[in-house]
Amino acid sequence: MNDVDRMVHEPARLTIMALLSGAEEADFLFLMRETGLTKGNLSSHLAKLEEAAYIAIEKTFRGKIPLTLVRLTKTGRSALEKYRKTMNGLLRGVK
Amino acid sequence: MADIDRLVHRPSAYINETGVPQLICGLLVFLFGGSELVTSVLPRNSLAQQGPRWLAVLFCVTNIWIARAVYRKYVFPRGGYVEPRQRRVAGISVAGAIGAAGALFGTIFWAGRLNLESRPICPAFAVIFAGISFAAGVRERSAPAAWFGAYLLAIAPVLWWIPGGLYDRFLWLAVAVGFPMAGFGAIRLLIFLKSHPLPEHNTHE
Repeated sequence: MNDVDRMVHEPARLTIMALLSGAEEADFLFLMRETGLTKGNLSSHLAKLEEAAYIAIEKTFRGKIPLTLVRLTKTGRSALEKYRKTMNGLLRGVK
Repeated sequence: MADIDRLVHRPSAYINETGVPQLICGLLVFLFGGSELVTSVLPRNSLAQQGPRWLAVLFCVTNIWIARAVYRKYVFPRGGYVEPRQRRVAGISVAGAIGAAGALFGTIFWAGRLNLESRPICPAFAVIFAGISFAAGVRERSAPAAWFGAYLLAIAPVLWWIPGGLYDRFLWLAVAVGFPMAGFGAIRLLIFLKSHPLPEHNTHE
Protein backbone atom coordinates (compact mmCIF):
# COMPACT_ATOMS: atom_id res chain seq x y z
CA MET A 1 0.00 0.00 0.00
CA ASN A 2 3.02 2.28 0.35
CA ASP A 3 3.18 2.61 -3.44
CA VAL A 4 -0.23 4.30 -3.53
CA ASP A 5 0.02 8.03 -4.29
CA ARG A 6 -1.92 9.66 -1.43
CA MET A 7 -2.31 12.86 -3.42
CA VAL A 8 -4.33 10.99 -6.06
CA HIS A 9 -5.93 8.45 -3.70
CA GLU A 10 -8.15 10.99 -1.93
CA PRO A 11 -11.65 10.53 -3.53
CA ALA A 12 -12.31 14.21 -4.37
CA ARG A 13 -8.87 14.69 -5.95
CA LEU A 14 -9.17 11.40 -7.84
CA THR A 15 -12.52 12.58 -9.23
CA ILE A 16 -10.99 15.92 -10.30
CA MET A 17 -8.01 14.24 -11.96
CA ALA A 18 -10.16 11.63 -13.73
CA LEU A 19 -12.42 14.39 -15.09
CA LEU A 20 -9.43 16.43 -16.27
CA SER A 21 -7.80 13.41 -17.91
CA GLY A 22 -10.67 13.35 -20.44
CA ALA A 23 -10.34 17.07 -21.14
CA GLU A 24 -7.83 19.46 -22.66
CA GLU A 25 -8.99 22.02 -20.09
CA ALA A 26 -12.01 22.78 -17.94
CA ASP A 27 -13.19 25.71 -15.91
CA PHE A 28 -13.97 25.97 -12.21
CA LEU A 29 -17.75 25.85 -12.73
CA PHE A 30 -17.59 22.61 -14.73
CA LEU A 31 -15.47 20.93 -12.06
CA MET A 32 -17.73 22.21 -9.28
CA ARG A 33 -20.89 20.91 -10.97
CA GLU A 34 -19.41 17.56 -11.92
CA THR A 35 -17.67 16.81 -8.63
CA GLY A 36 -20.47 18.14 -6.42
CA LEU A 37 -17.88 19.84 -4.21
CA THR A 38 -18.39 23.24 -2.64
CA LYS A 39 -16.43 26.24 -3.92
CA GLY A 40 -14.10 26.26 -0.91
CA ASN A 41 -13.56 22.52 -0.94
CA LEU A 42 -12.80 22.45 -4.65
CA SER A 43 -10.38 25.39 -4.30
CA SER A 44 -8.51 23.64 -1.52
CA HIS A 45 -8.14 20.39 -3.52
CA LEU A 46 -7.09 22.30 -6.65
CA ALA A 47 -4.44 24.16 -4.63
CA LYS A 48 -3.01 20.87 -3.34
CA LEU A 49 -2.96 19.36 -6.83
CA GLU A 50 -1.30 22.48 -8.21
CA GLU A 51 1.30 22.36 -5.45
CA ALA A 52 2.12 18.78 -6.50
CA ALA A 53 2.40 20.04 -10.13
CA TYR A 54 -0.37 17.61 -11.16
CA ILE A 55 -2.53 20.39 -12.56
CA ALA A 56 -1.94 23.85 -14.02
CA ILE A 57 -4.30 26.70 -13.18
CA GLU A 58 -4.71 29.76 -15.35
CA LYS A 59 -6.72 32.72 -14.10
CA THR A 60 -8.09 34.85 -16.90
CA PHE A 61 -11.18 36.82 -17.95
CA ARG A 62 -13.91 36.12 -20.51
CA GLY A 63 -15.18 39.62 -21.12
CA LYS A 64 -15.69 40.97 -17.62
CA ILE A 65 -16.25 37.55 -16.07
CA PRO A 66 -13.32 35.94 -14.24
CA LEU A 67 -12.45 32.52 -15.59
CA THR A 68 -10.35 29.87 -13.86
CA LEU A 69 -9.03 27.31 -16.34
CA VAL A 70 -7.61 24.03 -15.08
CA ARG A 71 -5.72 21.36 -16.99
CA LEU A 72 -3.88 18.19 -16.11
CA THR A 73 -0.10 18.42 -16.53
CA LYS A 74 2.09 15.65 -17.97
CA THR A 75 3.21 14.84 -14.42
CA GLY A 76 -0.43 14.63 -13.33
CA ARG A 77 -1.38 12.40 -16.24
CA SER A 78 1.44 9.94 -15.54
CA ALA A 79 0.65 10.04 -11.79
CA LEU A 80 -2.95 9.09 -12.54
CA GLU A 81 -1.84 6.32 -14.89
CA LYS A 82 0.62 5.00 -12.28
CA TYR A 83 -2.11 5.13 -9.62
CA ARG A 84 -4.45 3.10 -11.86
CA LYS A 85 -1.80 0.45 -12.44
CA THR A 86 -0.93 0.29 -8.74
CA MET A 87 -4.57 -0.08 -7.70
CA ASN A 88 -5.25 -2.69 -10.40
CA GLY A 89 -2.20 -4.63 -9.16
CA LEU A 90 -3.32 -4.40 -5.53
CA LEU A 91 -6.90 -5.41 -6.30
CA ARG A 92 -5.92 -8.30 -8.56
CA GLY A 93 -6.86 -11.51 -6.83
CA VAL A 94 -9.25 -9.76 -4.44
CA LYS A 95 -12.83 -10.92 -4.93
CA MET B 1 -17.25 7.99 -5.93
CA ALA B 2 -18.16 7.33 -9.56
CA ASP B 3 -16.06 4.89 -11.56
CA ILE B 4 -12.96 6.34 -13.19
CA ASP B 5 -13.81 5.31 -16.77
CA ARG B 6 -17.14 7.13 -16.61
CA LEU B 7 -15.41 10.25 -15.28
CA VAL B 8 -12.76 10.14 -18.01
CA HIS B 9 -15.52 10.09 -20.67
CA ARG B 10 -17.59 12.69 -18.85
CA PRO B 11 -16.28 15.82 -20.70
CA SER B 12 -17.31 14.49 -24.12
CA ALA B 13 -20.57 13.08 -22.69
CA TYR B 14 -21.30 16.55 -21.25
CA ILE B 15 -20.86 18.21 -24.65
CA ASN B 16 -23.20 15.59 -26.20
CA GLU B 17 -25.78 16.11 -23.44
CA THR B 18 -26.06 19.79 -24.33
CA GLY B 19 -27.64 18.76 -27.67
CA VAL B 20 -25.67 21.39 -29.62
CA PRO B 21 -23.67 18.92 -31.79
CA GLN B 22 -26.86 17.09 -32.86
CA LEU B 23 -28.75 20.35 -33.43
CA ILE B 24 -26.06 21.90 -35.65
CA CYS B 25 -25.26 18.70 -37.57
CA GLY B 26 -28.98 17.91 -38.04
CA LEU B 27 -29.75 21.45 -39.27
CA LEU B 28 -26.84 21.29 -41.69
CA VAL B 29 -28.05 18.03 -43.26
CA PHE B 30 -31.73 19.06 -43.18
CA LEU B 31 -31.11 22.47 -44.77
CA PHE B 32 -28.99 20.89 -47.50
CA GLY B 33 -31.72 18.38 -48.50
CA GLY B 34 -34.70 20.60 -47.71
CA SER B 35 -33.45 23.67 -49.56
CA GLU B 36 -32.84 21.66 -52.75
CA LEU B 37 -36.30 20.05 -52.55
CA VAL B 38 -38.01 23.41 -51.95
CA THR B 39 -36.00 25.03 -54.76
CA SER B 40 -37.26 22.42 -57.22
CA VAL B 41 -40.95 23.33 -56.61
CA LEU B 42 -40.57 27.14 -56.55
CA PRO B 43 -40.94 29.27 -59.72
CA ARG B 44 -37.78 29.04 -61.83
CA ASN B 45 -35.25 31.88 -61.93
CA SER B 46 -37.04 33.79 -59.17
CA LEU B 47 -35.38 35.31 -56.13
CA ALA B 48 -37.59 33.10 -53.93
CA GLN B 49 -36.20 30.02 -55.64
CA GLN B 50 -32.63 30.92 -54.73
CA GLY B 51 -33.45 31.97 -51.15
CA PRO B 52 -33.52 28.50 -49.52
CA ARG B 53 -30.33 27.48 -51.33
CA TRP B 54 -28.48 30.56 -50.09
CA LEU B 55 -29.81 29.98 -46.58
CA ALA B 56 -28.28 26.49 -46.66
CA VAL B 57 -24.97 27.84 -47.99
CA LEU B 58 -24.94 30.59 -45.34
CA PHE B 59 -25.55 28.04 -42.58
CA CYS B 60 -22.86 25.76 -44.03
CA VAL B 61 -20.32 28.60 -43.82
CA THR B 62 -21.34 29.91 -40.39
CA ASN B 63 -22.34 26.73 -38.50
CA ILE B 64 -19.09 26.46 -36.49
CA TRP B 65 -19.36 30.12 -35.48
CA ILE B 66 -23.04 29.63 -34.52
CA ALA B 67 -22.21 26.54 -32.44
CA ARG B 68 -19.44 28.45 -30.62
CA ALA B 69 -21.79 31.36 -29.94
CA VAL B 70 -24.45 29.00 -28.48
CA TYR B 71 -21.86 27.36 -26.24
CA ARG B 72 -20.44 30.69 -25.08
CA LYS B 73 -23.77 32.44 -24.50
CA TYR B 74 -26.02 29.67 -23.19
CA VAL B 75 -24.16 26.45 -22.33
CA PHE B 76 -20.87 27.33 -20.64
CA PRO B 77 -22.26 30.01 -18.27
CA ARG B 78 -24.69 27.37 -16.95
CA GLY B 79 -22.85 24.06 -16.88
CA GLY B 80 -19.26 25.21 -17.13
CA TYR B 81 -16.69 25.16 -19.87
CA VAL B 82 -14.79 22.05 -20.91
CA GLU B 83 -12.76 21.17 -23.99
CA PRO B 84 -12.87 17.36 -24.38
CA ARG B 85 -9.67 15.56 -25.35
CA GLN B 86 -9.71 14.11 -28.84
CA ARG B 87 -10.09 10.36 -28.49
CA ARG B 88 -9.05 7.75 -31.05
CA VAL B 89 -12.48 6.05 -30.97
CA ALA B 90 -14.28 9.37 -31.59
CA GLY B 91 -11.88 10.07 -34.45
CA ILE B 92 -12.64 6.68 -36.02
CA SER B 93 -16.44 7.30 -35.74
CA VAL B 94 -16.15 10.71 -37.41
CA ALA B 95 -13.87 9.28 -40.13
CA GLY B 96 -16.39 6.44 -40.68
CA ALA B 97 -19.31 8.86 -41.05
CA ILE B 98 -17.34 11.14 -43.40
CA GLY B 99 -16.22 8.07 -45.39
CA ALA B 100 -19.82 6.82 -45.73
CA ALA B 101 -21.03 10.29 -46.81
CA GLY B 102 -18.16 10.48 -49.32
CA ALA B 103 -19.08 7.05 -50.67
CA LEU B 104 -22.70 8.26 -51.04
CA PHE B 105 -21.64 11.31 -53.07
CA GLY B 106 -19.28 9.16 -55.16
CA THR B 107 -22.03 6.62 -55.85
CA ILE B 108 -24.45 9.36 -56.97
CA PHE B 109 -21.79 10.70 -59.33
CA TRP B 110 -20.84 7.31 -60.82
CA ALA B 111 -24.38 5.87 -60.88
CA GLY B 112 -25.39 8.58 -63.38
CA ARG B 113 -22.35 7.97 -65.56
CA LEU B 114 -22.59 4.19 -65.53
CA ASN B 115 -26.41 4.08 -65.83
CA LEU B 116 -26.70 1.94 -62.70
CA GLU B 117 -30.12 0.98 -61.30
CA SER B 118 -30.60 3.89 -58.88
CA ARG B 119 -33.59 2.73 -56.84
CA PRO B 120 -31.75 0.54 -54.27
CA ILE B 121 -28.82 2.95 -53.71
CA CYS B 122 -30.38 5.33 -51.16
CA PRO B 123 -32.10 2.56 -49.17
CA ALA B 124 -28.75 0.73 -49.10
CA PHE B 125 -27.04 3.83 -47.69
CA ALA B 126 -29.85 4.25 -45.15
CA VAL B 127 -29.08 0.69 -43.99
CA ILE B 128 -25.32 1.47 -43.84
CA PHE B 129 -25.96 4.65 -41.80
CA ALA B 130 -28.34 2.64 -39.58
CA GLY B 131 -25.55 0.14 -38.93
CA ILE B 132 -23.04 2.91 -38.06
CA SER B 133 -25.54 4.62 -35.73
CA PHE B 134 -26.56 1.35 -34.08
CA ALA B 135 -22.92 0.26 -33.56
CA ALA B 136 -22.07 3.69 -32.09
CA GLY B 137 -25.13 3.43 -29.82
CA VAL B 138 -24.07 0.01 -28.52
CA ARG B 139 -20.41 1.00 -28.08
CA GLU B 140 -21.14 4.33 -26.37
CA ARG B 141 -24.12 2.86 -24.47
CA SER B 142 -26.29 5.56 -26.02
CA ALA B 143 -29.96 4.58 -26.39
CA PRO B 144 -30.83 7.59 -28.67
CA ALA B 145 -28.09 6.60 -31.17
CA ALA B 146 -29.33 2.99 -31.21
CA TRP B 147 -32.95 4.18 -31.70
CA PHE B 148 -31.80 6.47 -34.49
CA GLY B 149 -30.24 3.42 -36.16
CA ALA B 150 -33.57 1.59 -35.88
CA TYR B 151 -35.36 4.62 -37.35
CA LEU B 152 -32.99 4.72 -40.35
CA LEU B 153 -33.60 1.02 -40.92
CA ALA B 154 -37.36 1.69 -40.89
CA ILE B 155 -37.18 4.51 -43.47
CA ALA B 156 -35.00 2.50 -45.90
CA PRO B 157 -38.02 0.85 -47.63
CA VAL B 158 -39.81 4.24 -47.83
CA LEU B 159 -36.85 5.67 -49.77
CA TRP B 160 -37.24 2.84 -52.27
CA TRP B 161 -40.77 4.00 -53.19
CA ILE B 162 -40.06 7.74 -53.43
CA PRO B 163 -40.69 8.86 -57.04
CA GLY B 164 -37.99 10.68 -59.02
CA GLY B 165 -34.33 10.00 -59.60
CA LEU B 166 -31.43 9.09 -57.37
CA TYR B 167 -30.71 12.72 -56.47
CA ASP B 168 -34.31 13.28 -55.28
CA ARG B 169 -34.14 10.19 -53.08
CA PHE B 170 -30.80 11.36 -51.75
CA LEU B 171 -32.34 14.74 -50.83
CA TRP B 172 -35.22 13.00 -49.05
CA LEU B 173 -32.70 10.86 -47.17
CA ALA B 174 -30.94 14.08 -46.03
CA VAL B 175 -34.27 15.51 -44.84
CA ALA B 176 -35.21 12.25 -43.10
CA VAL B 177 -31.83 12.16 -41.32
CA GLY B 178 -31.43 15.87 -40.56
CA PHE B 179 -34.91 16.74 -39.26
CA PRO B 180 -35.13 14.24 -36.37
CA MET B 181 -31.47 14.80 -35.51
CA ALA B 182 -31.97 18.58 -35.25
CA GLY B 183 -35.25 18.08 -33.33
CA PHE B 184 -33.55 15.73 -30.89
CA GLY B 185 -30.69 18.22 -30.42
CA ALA B 186 -33.13 21.09 -29.82
CA ILE B 187 -35.07 19.09 -27.20
CA ARG B 188 -31.81 18.09 -25.50
CA LEU B 189 -30.64 21.71 -25.45
CA LEU B 190 -33.93 22.89 -23.93
CA ILE B 191 -33.74 20.18 -21.25
CA PHE B 192 -30.13 21.19 -20.54
CA LEU B 193 -31.01 24.88 -20.21
CA LYS B 194 -33.93 24.08 -17.92
CA SER B 195 -31.91 21.77 -15.69
CA HIS B 196 -28.90 24.12 -15.52
CA PRO B 197 -30.03 27.55 -14.31
CA LEU B 198 -27.50 30.37 -14.35
CA PRO B 199 -25.49 30.41 -11.10
CA GLU B 200 -26.54 33.32 -8.89
CA HIS B 201 -23.05 34.26 -7.75
CA ASN B 202 -19.63 34.27 -9.32
CA THR B 203 -18.54 30.63 -9.11
CA HIS B 204 -14.92 31.32 -9.87
CA GLU B 205 -12.15 31.62 -7.42
